[in-house]
Amino acid sequence: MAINRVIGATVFMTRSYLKEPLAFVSDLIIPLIMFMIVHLGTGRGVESLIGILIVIAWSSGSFALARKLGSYKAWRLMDMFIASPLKPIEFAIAAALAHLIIIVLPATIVTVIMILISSINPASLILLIASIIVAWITGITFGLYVYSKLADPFKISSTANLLNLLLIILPPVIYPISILPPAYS
Amino acid sequence: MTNYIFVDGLVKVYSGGVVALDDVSFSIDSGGIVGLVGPNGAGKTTLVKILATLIKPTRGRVEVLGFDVNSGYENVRKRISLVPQDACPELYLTPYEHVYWYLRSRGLPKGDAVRLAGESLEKVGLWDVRDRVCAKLSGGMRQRVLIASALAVPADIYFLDEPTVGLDPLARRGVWSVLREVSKNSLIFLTTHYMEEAEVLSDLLIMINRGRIIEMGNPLELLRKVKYRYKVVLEKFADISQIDVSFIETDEGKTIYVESDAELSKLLGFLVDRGLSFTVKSTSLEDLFIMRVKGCGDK
Repeated sequence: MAINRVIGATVFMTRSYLKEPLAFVSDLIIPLIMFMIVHLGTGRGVESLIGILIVIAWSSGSFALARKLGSYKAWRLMDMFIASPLKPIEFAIAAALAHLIIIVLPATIVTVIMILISSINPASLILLIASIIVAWITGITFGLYVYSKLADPFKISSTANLLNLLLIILPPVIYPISILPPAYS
Repeated sequence: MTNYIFVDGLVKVYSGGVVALDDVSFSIDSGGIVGLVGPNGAGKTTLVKILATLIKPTRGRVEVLGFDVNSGYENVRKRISLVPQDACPELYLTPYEHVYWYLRSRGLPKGDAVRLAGESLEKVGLWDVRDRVCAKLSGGMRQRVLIASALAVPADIYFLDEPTVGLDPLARRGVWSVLREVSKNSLIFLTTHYMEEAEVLSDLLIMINRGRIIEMGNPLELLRKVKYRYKVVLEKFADISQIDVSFIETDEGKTIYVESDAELSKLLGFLVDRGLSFTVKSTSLEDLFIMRVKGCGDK
């Protein structure tokens, strides 16, 4: 029965995202532009794509989870779930799973680009998937931490958003620190 | 007889020392509709949140369906359903998806969820727009999506915190008839700002002010407690300084409460002589509420 509840809550949270494909585009646009710059400039595009996958997995856990929980809190929709048999841990798992499902499409796009520009052996693919899962779990933990520490739903969203942006912009996740001018490195 | 709600000496103090509820005690042993009315900040939502296990009481004993809300909250949550105040549905779900997947998240099997979601949407008048996303619905319809989601749940107690705010008069009456039907087999604990709604719907009415219960009983019994039979309402700026009567300021204007026909006739004579315009009305529960909140009019 607990699994049924988790599936129900997961779908409840996922369906709205799946109806808005443009959300994926906007989430991917900055990382992909950065990839192109790195790839054309240094030829190290694959590393950049790996970084993007890690960022996507992390942000689905931290930014998206915290934003989702924050918005449900602000809308008071959360209260309907609390006053129900769905346990807090089940709700958290459902929210995390919902965001894992959401990243399937952007992660697939990035992986396809990676396959197109380089040859990936199965061992590296397994390592990559493992890294994504670790990033996702770390992101979830961080997202839940942010959610539990900040009472204001709007602060939750803006804090998670800021950290996610820093992860994208600052090296070495999407581009190596070595490509910066020596003074900045 | 089901022991629905038992509250004894309930106190809730928020951080910062704000006392939201102060020594509240009451018991509800039978189903039907319980109306909780009170001005803004009276403690209505705090009481609902404690009963629905969203927040913990500071002191006192609170039992819902025989379970303590602190130690037995999981048992309570299995048997209650809630419409929170000022809530918003998931905007990119359709009403059907909202109700159906909310039911599934509560562990209901697919077949039951399909049937209950359909029935609930039909009852609140949303069946025709079941496949339109909530973002494209009016505010009143979005509110009804939440009501449909909560009432679709097979529960023993439904907590509805100002559920009809934002509904047009027709939709509100539609919800009333649904609530009456649902209350035949369960308890509906309803908070509202609308005294008419509380008066029409409630089998038991609780009036609360500044965290304390100021009146409680059947609406008819409460109405009998009103000492005054009539009220005479004058414009806000009407000059009645030359008339020896006491009045209270309400939204309607200056309100003078009158006990008897003779007293009314005398007062109207004064007002007509002075050329003042006025309206005479029979007193209602709203007047009892105003008198209690303003601290006057005891029988």
